[in-house]
Amino acid sequence: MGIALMEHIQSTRQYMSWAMDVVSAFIEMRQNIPCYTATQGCGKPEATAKMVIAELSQGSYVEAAGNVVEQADVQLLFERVAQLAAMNKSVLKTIYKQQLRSPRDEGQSLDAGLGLIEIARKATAPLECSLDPLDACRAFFTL
Amino acid sequence: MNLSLAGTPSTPAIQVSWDSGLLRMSGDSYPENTCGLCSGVIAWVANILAEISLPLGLELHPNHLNASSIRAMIDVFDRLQIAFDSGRELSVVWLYDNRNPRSAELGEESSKDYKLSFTITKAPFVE
Repeated sequence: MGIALMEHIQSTRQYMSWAMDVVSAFIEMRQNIPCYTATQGCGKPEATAKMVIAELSQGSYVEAAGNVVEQADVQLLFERVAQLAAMNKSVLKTIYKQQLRSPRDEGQSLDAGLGLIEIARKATAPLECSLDPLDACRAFFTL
Repeated sequence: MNLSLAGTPSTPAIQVSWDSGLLRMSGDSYPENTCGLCSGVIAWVANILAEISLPLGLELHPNHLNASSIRAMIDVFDRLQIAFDSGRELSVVWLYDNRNPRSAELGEESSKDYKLSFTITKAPFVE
């Protein structure tokens, strides 16, 4: 899907910067999903991402990714998105570099953190997220 | 060890030559799962730095790299910097497609963290 998206956007642009940013955010969103997917104590894991990309006007895109997460992870996710949304590009660059050099042995969530910062760096507007509770255990999280 | 791997839509073409001390990588790198290829490249660089003392050259022609691949690349550069500090002769050539200034920006941004010499040059991407 990423390849098809890349080809479509490239075909409509003389330069690839916009295409690279849109595709880059798409890939990081898609690859972040398994890191935040409900996997424990909530029944069957649901690693499927629901993704929407819309072109609003020439050179302006909105990308949304949603997936089922555990209620227990929601607060952390919301706090992280709010922190990133409040940072300017210079601060984002600094924390991106810190995250790049953070210890590697703490598992998957670190790469997820790096990907989220990458998305915030590419975005021309602050990240936003929302939540639709599904049951006592799970919720549908949309970035 | 010499190795030549063809690229795929989500993994780069890689050629390494132990005898000439050259590592070439070109294309996209955004594999879905853990980047096994990245660990292989990091191990190759670590081995060649440890086992022989010939000059080592990296020729990188990246298009899009995902966050995990960039992290792996930083691991490689960190190892090169340590070797450079110990007197090893090293060179990094970073080629970028004119249509993809994001690649040039990534090269520039990465190079600023190192004392290694980076040559960042425009070059058309050849599939």
